[in-house]
Amino acid sequence: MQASFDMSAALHHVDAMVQALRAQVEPALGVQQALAFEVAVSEALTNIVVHGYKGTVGGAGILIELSTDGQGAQLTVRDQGRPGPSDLYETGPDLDKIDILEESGRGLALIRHHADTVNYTPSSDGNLLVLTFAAASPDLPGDDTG
Amino acid sequence: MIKIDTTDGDISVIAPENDRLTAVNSTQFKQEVVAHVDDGHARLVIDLSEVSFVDSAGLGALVGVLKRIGARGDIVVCGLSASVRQMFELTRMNRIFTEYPDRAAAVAALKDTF
Repeated sequence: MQASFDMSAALHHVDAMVQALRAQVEPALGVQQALAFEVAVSEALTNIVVHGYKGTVGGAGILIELSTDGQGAQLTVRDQGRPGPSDLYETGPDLDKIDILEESGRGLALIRHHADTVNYTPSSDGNLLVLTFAAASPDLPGDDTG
Repeated sequence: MIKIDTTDGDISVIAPENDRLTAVNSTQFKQEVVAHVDDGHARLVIDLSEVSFVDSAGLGALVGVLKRIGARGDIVVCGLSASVRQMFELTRMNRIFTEYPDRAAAVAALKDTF
């Protein structure tokens, strides 16, 4: 399955887009991995809108491409926002190192935790983020979490 | 964006009106709850039974309320779905927010603390 979506760079569009994407991947990933997908994609799209498009109004749309097969799902996000550092998704503390009383700063760690691979290519011509998620093994327990 | 039930003495049960607590609405959620705290209501049950998804911003809002209450009162959560509980455990929120199965159990537990 392949599908593409265009999302305006506004925070109030993120939840509906995330829910639409999750609905597309759940048959391929299973419920538990679909939740991991939902968390990572929610954090990624929020980061792009909040940080990449900070201070802009009515900016270009964000192009989202989704593909699934028997192995899992791949999400590709192309945006025209402000580029982040090339190691954006490689640095920062893991979840268990973040101060429990911090009110922010968990997003990147959640993306790294939930996605199987994260590839980010920033550019002034447009940024590219690719997240992949492996389908849950049918032998793994706990795939009934809703 | 919150519903507040203050029928149990000085305990307020607060429920988000949305089924998702995310970056989209977490700032407003925090502002409304903090305003209630600042009005003198510092013993809170956050009822998440109608919330199906919480992101890092939603968790941050809850932490912000917890810090605002400080030593003045208590804040506990109830009604966590499996997916919300998973986020709490993954981010260790379960260490700072005591969880109860429903609002009745949460209110009873808070009453017992005095």
